[in-house]
Amino acid sequence: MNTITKVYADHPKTLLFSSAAALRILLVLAFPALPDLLTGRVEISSPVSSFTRLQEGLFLYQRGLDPYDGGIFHQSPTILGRLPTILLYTALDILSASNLCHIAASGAAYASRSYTSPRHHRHWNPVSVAAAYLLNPLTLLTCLGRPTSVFAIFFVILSVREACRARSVTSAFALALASYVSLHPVLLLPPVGLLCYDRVCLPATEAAGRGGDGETKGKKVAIDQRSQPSGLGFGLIYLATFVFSVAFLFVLSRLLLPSWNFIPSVYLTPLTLPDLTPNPGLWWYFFIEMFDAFRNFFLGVFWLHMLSYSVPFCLRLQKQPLAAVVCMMGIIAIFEPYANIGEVGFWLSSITLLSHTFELASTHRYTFAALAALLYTVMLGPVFHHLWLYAGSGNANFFYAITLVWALALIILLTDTVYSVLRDEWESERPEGKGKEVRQL
Amino acid sequence: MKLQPLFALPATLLPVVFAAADPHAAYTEHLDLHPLPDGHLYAGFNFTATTSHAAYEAQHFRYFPRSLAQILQHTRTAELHLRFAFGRWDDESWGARPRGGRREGGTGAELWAWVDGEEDHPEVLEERWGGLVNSLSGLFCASLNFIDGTRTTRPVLSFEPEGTHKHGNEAQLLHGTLPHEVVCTENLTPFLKLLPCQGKAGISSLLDGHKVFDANWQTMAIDVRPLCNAKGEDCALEIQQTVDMVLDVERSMRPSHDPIPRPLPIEQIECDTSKEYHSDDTCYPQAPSGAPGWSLRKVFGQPINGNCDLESADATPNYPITLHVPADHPVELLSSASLPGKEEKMNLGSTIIHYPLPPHPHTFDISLPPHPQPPEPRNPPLLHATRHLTGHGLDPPILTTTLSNPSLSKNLTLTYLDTLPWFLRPYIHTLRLQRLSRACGDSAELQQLFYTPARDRERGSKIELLLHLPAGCTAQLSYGVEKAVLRYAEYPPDANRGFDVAGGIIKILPDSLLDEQVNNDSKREAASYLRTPPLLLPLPTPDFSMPYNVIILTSTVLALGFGSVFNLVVRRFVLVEEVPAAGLPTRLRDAVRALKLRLSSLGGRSGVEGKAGRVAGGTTVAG
Amino acid sequence: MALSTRLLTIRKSPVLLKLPPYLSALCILVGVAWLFLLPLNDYSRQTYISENAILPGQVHTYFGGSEHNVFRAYRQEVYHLSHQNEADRNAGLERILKEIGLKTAQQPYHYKVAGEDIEGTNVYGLLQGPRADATEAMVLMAAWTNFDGETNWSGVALALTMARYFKRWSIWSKDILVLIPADSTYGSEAWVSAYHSTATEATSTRNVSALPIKAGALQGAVAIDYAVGPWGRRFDKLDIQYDGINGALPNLDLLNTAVSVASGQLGIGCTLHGMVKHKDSYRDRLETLGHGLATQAAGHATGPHSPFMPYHVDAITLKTVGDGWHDEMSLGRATESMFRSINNLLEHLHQSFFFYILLNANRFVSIGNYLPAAMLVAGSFSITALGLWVESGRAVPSKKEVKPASTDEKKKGADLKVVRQGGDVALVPVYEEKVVERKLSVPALVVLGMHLAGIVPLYLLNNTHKDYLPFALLGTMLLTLLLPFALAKTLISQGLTVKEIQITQCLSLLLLGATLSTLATLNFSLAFVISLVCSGLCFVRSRPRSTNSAVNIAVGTITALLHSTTSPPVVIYGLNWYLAKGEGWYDVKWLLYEMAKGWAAQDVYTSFVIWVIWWPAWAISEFVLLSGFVRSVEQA
Repeated sequence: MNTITKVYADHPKTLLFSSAAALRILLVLAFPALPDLLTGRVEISSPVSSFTRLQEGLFLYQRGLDPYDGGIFHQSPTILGRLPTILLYTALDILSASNLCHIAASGAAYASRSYTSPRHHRHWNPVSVAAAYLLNPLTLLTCLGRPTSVFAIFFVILSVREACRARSVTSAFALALASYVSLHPVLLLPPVGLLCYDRVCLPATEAAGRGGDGETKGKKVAIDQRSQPSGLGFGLIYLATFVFSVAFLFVLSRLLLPSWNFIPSVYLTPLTLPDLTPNPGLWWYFFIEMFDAFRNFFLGVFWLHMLSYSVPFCLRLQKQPLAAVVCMMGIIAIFEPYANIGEVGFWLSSITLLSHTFELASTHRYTFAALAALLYTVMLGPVFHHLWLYAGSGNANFFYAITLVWALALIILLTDTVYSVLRDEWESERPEGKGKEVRQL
Repeated sequence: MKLQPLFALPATLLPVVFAAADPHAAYTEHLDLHPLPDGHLYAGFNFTATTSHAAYEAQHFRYFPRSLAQILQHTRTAELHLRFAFGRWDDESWGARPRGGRREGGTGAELWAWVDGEEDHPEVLEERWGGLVNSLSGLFCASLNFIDGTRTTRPVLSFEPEGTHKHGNEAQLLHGTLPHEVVCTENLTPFLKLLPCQGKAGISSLLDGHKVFDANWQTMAIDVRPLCNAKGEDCALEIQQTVDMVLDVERSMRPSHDPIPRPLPIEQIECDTSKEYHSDDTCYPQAPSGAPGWSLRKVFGQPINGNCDLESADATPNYPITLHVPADHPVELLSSASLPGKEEKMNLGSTIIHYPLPPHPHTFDISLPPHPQPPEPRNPPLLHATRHLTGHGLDPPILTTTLSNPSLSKNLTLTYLDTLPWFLRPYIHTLRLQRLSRACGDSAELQQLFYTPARDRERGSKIELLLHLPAGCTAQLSYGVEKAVLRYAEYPPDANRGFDVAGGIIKILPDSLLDEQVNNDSKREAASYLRTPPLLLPLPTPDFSMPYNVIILTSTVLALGFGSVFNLVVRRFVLVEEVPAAGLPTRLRDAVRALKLRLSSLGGRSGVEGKAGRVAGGTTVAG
Repeated sequence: MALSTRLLTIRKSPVLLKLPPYLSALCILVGVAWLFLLPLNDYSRQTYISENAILPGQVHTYFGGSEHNVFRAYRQEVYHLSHQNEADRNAGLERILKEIGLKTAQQPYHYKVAGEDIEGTNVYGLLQGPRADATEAMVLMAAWTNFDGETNWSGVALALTMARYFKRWSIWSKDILVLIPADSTYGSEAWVSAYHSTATEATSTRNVSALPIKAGALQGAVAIDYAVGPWGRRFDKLDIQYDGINGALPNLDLLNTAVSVASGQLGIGCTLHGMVKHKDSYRDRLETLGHGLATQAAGHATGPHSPFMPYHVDAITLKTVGDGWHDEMSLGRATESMFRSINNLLEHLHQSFFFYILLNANRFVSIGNYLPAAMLVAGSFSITALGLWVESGRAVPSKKEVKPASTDEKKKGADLKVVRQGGDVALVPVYEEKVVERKLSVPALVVLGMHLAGIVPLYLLNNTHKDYLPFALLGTMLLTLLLPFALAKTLISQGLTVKEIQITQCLSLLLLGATLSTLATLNFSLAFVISLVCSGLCFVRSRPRSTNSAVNIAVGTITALLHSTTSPPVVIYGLNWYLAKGEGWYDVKWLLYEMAKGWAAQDVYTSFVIWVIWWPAWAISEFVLLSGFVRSVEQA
């Protein structure tokens, strides 16, 4: 007992990571059938990320067939190297967790170029952020279910982490990798770029701050624009890096494959939704029931809807770019066409990066109700899916209703996050507003 | 001007002259009757007509059905095979399939053909195939036109051309099945219309819809193939029309006015009197044994209505009817004017009797009395095959085919063809061949695999494999599948029990192919075929009454998210205290208060002034 | 937005905090009362056929005449077979099926449960519909021994006769499987699981060999239970058994078909749960409802039909009861008519209800009317949880304030504090500084740990040998009593705060509520019963009233013991005493063995619910109860 506490006191990270890895591996050893069972669950593996389909694609590829000539395999080509093992997935989780640690430690959440949260002392310590990711049951199940979306998640976190370290090139490249593995991380381009820009400018600001006399320590002073890169130029460079990396990856995969078939097969599938396998998202049932005449119109509407968030978040939250990133992740996790609990779990854990604003959410919003609703849906979802498909005693509407509730609960959580972040920003301007009721107009 | 008809005349005559010289124009028909164990009767009709290729090109037809020929010419179809079938051939009790299964199809409709066209111009090929399919569906009143791209496959191993194709034009094989097609009288009538005697005379006069479709197993086949001699010239075109069926004798001899199988009166049941409890109210029925008596008239409802001899000049009498019976089985010839059949003894105590048919006005009928000895089954089958879709709940669905080789000595090499609709996605990496019996050894194995993955809403998937099955081996071929969820408009509109998946097609390669290359047509024996029954595929269904509700609810949730997020993003926070009281009521109150103030200020004056003032005030207010 | 803020202001009101216990109590009371309303005419409905294709009783039945003689002969034959050993018996049955002209096969099975072996061999035959495409099939069942252990002579004989009679018809659009399981639960269980399983060889835990003969998708199954020998007995009514494993029910249309065929076409009355004298009065309806609840909550098989339900195959058993003037021929005609109806089906039965409670053979309550009862009771837990959460989040009122309620308003204007941060300076109310952080880690760990600990009794009670099961239960009893106390003692000494205890209870109740309402959609009765037994957990709080430690100890022990009366082991003892299957209340062997059999052989999840959902929740509430007293004692 004491040794454990001592170890925990000394190297909490090591203890956490090792225990998390041990947990995953022990689960697999104890229940050998578990991974395959989870792989079959629609909540975990979607048509564009399923491990079974990956095996199929790999089988075809290794026998010299074009895996993209067919309706089964829609995953990015570089995964076709060899079949990833559960160990690799565990390693990915650990790495993502340590990246989250670094992001939390970098303090990008509560301190930016032009803003420092009045609650910055309230933030969780990085290890608990990592714990929130590693011990999150959704993440755990996803790790065992082995969908390829885990890769996308990893690259996204990596890109954010690089952004926090003000390394624009690596960040852009990681983001490119993420969007190459699965399309939607493209939407993170503006916020991550903003974050990176912010971190790039940060040292200059601090230098300027330090340059001033002791009185104005910690105060934001006017900084002459010459001492820091211009936003436009930086944006262009960032974008260019991203585009070039994507192009590079495409060429690379073309070398692996007989044809360019993979581009429509991988990147058009989430856009046009040919495969309507149920998932926790909002799209599948909508497009099962949609009239053919309006199908394309509504596909367009749904995608525009997802696009419409990215820029507004950047504009409104430009003082807290990391918050913008997290909120955008939330949008993706809730509204993406082939939704899965893996991304949701990742997003829920990454909210803890904004932990300094939790008190606001918990005192002013309905976080508990939303979490309770999530608990209910997590239990009812699989049951209703079973009633629909296997017991046959319930119909599709049961499961559909649960997906609606699930989405609603997540939306409430998202708005809570946005609210508390904005409120935090507002209170730094008007400290007397603390704890008071506010209106918006 | 005037001479034109004269010039035209030879042109019109030419085909006639040509036809007269047609060496190949011939027509034969044949009926094969074979009593089977447990009171069944196999009847196999075969009608063969040929025409020379020249006459075919010149659009002159004597026996060859013109309607079909024109379709073939128009769609450039070199060889055609069309099947309508239903029921199951019970090979455990009846033995091997007739004609090696080459003339039977999977339940429903099946069509495969060699159509002229190059590999590199698929659109031409598809266009011709589409034309063929559509015109055939018109000709046979069948919904063959539903064989579209999603149901058409290009098998590699399972079929080889029966005819000899002229060198130079490479014909492409296309194959399509409709497992859900219900075969019925409306398909039989056009079938008979193709015959020279059109079911009025000859053995085809037995083919009556009621009896044919009351059979336990029935298949109609049309096979058109070109025949050339070794040097590849002097070609002819042959059409074979085949109807094979197995009738339950007892059932088809029921009176048509009362077909209900009521419990027999107790006198007609022979009881096992050896049982000690046997009494007048207790009767243990004797196990059915022996062969029931039957006659053509009783079984088919009518006798054969004379012969269908088209060349009356033809001297040699032909024997279109063949009957297989045990040696000691008496056969009574009921028809007046017909000659006796000529018998030939076969080994294992069965005889084959060939009968000629009397000329037209006379009828032909034979009758067999009941016999204590049950007839021998046909030769033992080469292979037993069953296929099932197992898996329920958490274990994923798996398509398993059990193949067992009953013979003790004969090793089999066979090809297996599965064509699945696109909404049943096979996981080919889970394909396994499990050896269930010890006899399999290690030599039971997959040798080749041809796989075409499905593309959603474009084409079905095709799995074709070559495997070796040693004697006495029972192996199970299995692969995992995934059921897709369809758009609600893609489900059939009526009440449906699920989708039908066509049975697997198994081709058993003849030995001559196994040992070294002796493939010259002289000693090449044809492969035999076997088809597994179709499968029922229940797909998860959405609620068909929901479209509007779903659109409304989902859009509401989207709007909620959008609204609440942007609500937060675009508006600014203000303390509750500082919220300026807005809204119509307050504004009204202010206006009223202002008015009151004025009035009170005008308080003390006289009415007129007050009025004036009020007017003034009114004006000022208005202004 | 504005609305939400107003809601939030309400949230601060102290009245709301007092409310939850009363709300929960109200929910529970209404839920129970609801159940007693159901038998009334206004809340239940007359049954009706929804699937038009069935056409029940529209066909003329011809079964009779010489078939009666055949039946008598078969019954004699079966009677003779019943005196031979099992191998010969199965061979004899197979011989008869072969003579009739069916393709026959046998399937041995062998379950190992709690050290005991359950084994037998199923005999079955396939009647291929002459003109059917092999895609669908129906099952005609007659278990060799019926559910009460009697030999089912007439039933088996009738099944054989029906098979022979059906063989001559050409109308079947589906194949007919004639199944004669060796016993009434495990035989059919083994058969149907093998029919749907993908495995080719028997597995280690359940030794069920694969079926040599299979047909298409099963569309329905009807079992005949008529345990009379050659001497014969005329029956009065047909008892229709419909409960499946885990409380799954067949489509109501199948049941309606049976009822309308039997009573409408042939004038045979139908009963449920063996209630032969059902005068359709409120009392009788309530009793039927009670029987239904009990069997469904137990979730065990009630006949050879039960194992079919989890595989989405609708099945019922027709059992002859009473002493009347109907003979086997009318039962045969009923069966014939039923099969004609099932044969008419164009698609799988789906039109009518799958969730219903029957009050009478022709009266039912649909899910919409009864589900609220369970949901209300389960909801009471969530309400309490919400209350506890809010409570745990409020600042602890300091000693001097008597009324914690009025803190907010009072302090708003009260002492302000200068906050200087960056360049900005602000006046901020002091009390706002101490916003309570909820410490979630320890409570979450406690709840998780408890639920994991539930696996221990689950394992013990399902894997120990039959003879030692009672001791396993005793051990569980001790664990149940000691674990919460030990936990409370250790954690309090580690300095567990009241808030954390509140949060622990909140989480546990939240989980319980969610689980039970989920369960209610699978097995209404089980969820309802469990939530009734658990309803006490809402009102447990950890506040010792007195300051005197002795009093506290006394009160603590008493309340703890009272609370323990609703603990799973005690309830099991009580149930055993009520069923009175062993000698005395303590002899729980039979009950536990039944539960173990259900868990191991039939996949009944009732014991899982008891030990991994109910037991931990109860233990945590006990822990909460004790912790209060422990704390006060330590303080004293």
